[in-house]
Amino acid sequence: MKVLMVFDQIQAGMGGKERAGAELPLGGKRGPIGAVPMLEPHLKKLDEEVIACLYCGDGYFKEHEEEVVKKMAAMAKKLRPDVVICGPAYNYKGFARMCALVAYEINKKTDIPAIAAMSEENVDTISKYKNSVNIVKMPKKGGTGLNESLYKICLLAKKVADKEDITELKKEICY
Amino acid sequence: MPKGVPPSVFNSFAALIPSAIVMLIFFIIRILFEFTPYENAFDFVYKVLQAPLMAVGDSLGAEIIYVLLSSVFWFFGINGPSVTNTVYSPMHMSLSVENVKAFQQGLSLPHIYTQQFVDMFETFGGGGSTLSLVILMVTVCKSQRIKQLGKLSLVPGIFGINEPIIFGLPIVLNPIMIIPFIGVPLMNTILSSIAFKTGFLPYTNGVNLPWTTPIGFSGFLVTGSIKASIFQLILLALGCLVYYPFIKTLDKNYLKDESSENTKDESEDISFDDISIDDL
Repeated sequence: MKVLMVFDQIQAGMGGKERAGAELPLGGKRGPIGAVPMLEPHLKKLDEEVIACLYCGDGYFKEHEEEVVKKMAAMAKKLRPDVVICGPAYNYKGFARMCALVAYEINKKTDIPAIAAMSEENVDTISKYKNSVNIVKMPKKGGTGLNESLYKICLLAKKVADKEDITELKKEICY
Repeated sequence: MPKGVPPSVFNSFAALIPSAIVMLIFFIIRILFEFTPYENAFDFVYKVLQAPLMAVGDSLGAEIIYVLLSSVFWFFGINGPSVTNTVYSPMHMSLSVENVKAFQQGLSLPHIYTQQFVDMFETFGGGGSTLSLVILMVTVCKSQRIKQLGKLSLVPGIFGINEPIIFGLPIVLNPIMIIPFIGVPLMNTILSSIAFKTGFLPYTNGVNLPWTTPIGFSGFLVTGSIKASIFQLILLALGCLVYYPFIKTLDKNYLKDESSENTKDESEDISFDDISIDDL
């Protein structure tokens, strides 16, 4: 099963919180980069494979919100993965918003399912998008239960890609 | 480790084992020293290394050992002079003091191998006399990695700071660069020694100038002779000649890496240039 990831500069391994990192423009790499190795054991268990990662600095995203969202969706359509995972966004506010918006756009404009993952600190984003996007619960940076939540993200990704019934699972792991 | 422990936590525990072994070994060494007449490692270093070196003191041989060891330590990533100075600094300083006393009384200066000789005539731009190397990196090298690093290192290099090169080029554990890195300071030391011995340059006056004083100025200030400044610049140019073939070899290797990296990157990158949002 082919997975496309959406990262910010930090999860892509291409920068930090400082300005230079945040200004990383929209881009992508074929194959796994950044935070993918952390997800790898769970992906393997569920027979999922990361075919590409799209990334964008949270500062750049803030300035070019609409353009980035649309281009990411168009790129997802071009790359034809089975599912798109936006995140994990932890408690990074800008990145969490990007995840929700991109997942929403992909779900709306393409037939590829997309999910997001973020921690409960992103109150505004969650309350605004939890009904239109499947947002998996996860801890904030440094919080407990990360490994478990990463598995749940991968599990939900598999189920939505296989078009299984997710109502029960959603109740348990999503906002 | 129990299941579910994240790899980063697991790795930090894994690092505890070698550090525990290191601590144990050195604890045993410490105890063993207590059974010897030296009583501890510091006294051992003093009596076995420092005392004999102080005895040979003011000689080219002792100076060559100093320069050689300083460069070799740098090659392994250890601040060479920080180590060698623990033994040599008292010697160099006392020779400087004797020179400055003689200078104040208008007597002829007794010593060549003073702290000023070490700071102003052995290396230029930091350990390994890398100011010559930086000049080449900026002027004749073509690979981006070396060029950029050269530009960054030029100003610190003028003031004798070269950590960017030591760890960035790198010099550390680099079999190509070790030869000139050891060779150039040795050459400087021997040529300077000849220049002082033959009376071409007046001895250093022992005035304690900061080691960061730039080349040219420093030679004049510690000897009072403009000839010393010119001599420093000649050594700098000779250093460039020695470093040239080695940095060119490294430059070629890096150029090769850079061109292969570029082609690899292109195939991996996903370009958004031809993405149209109308496709949706």
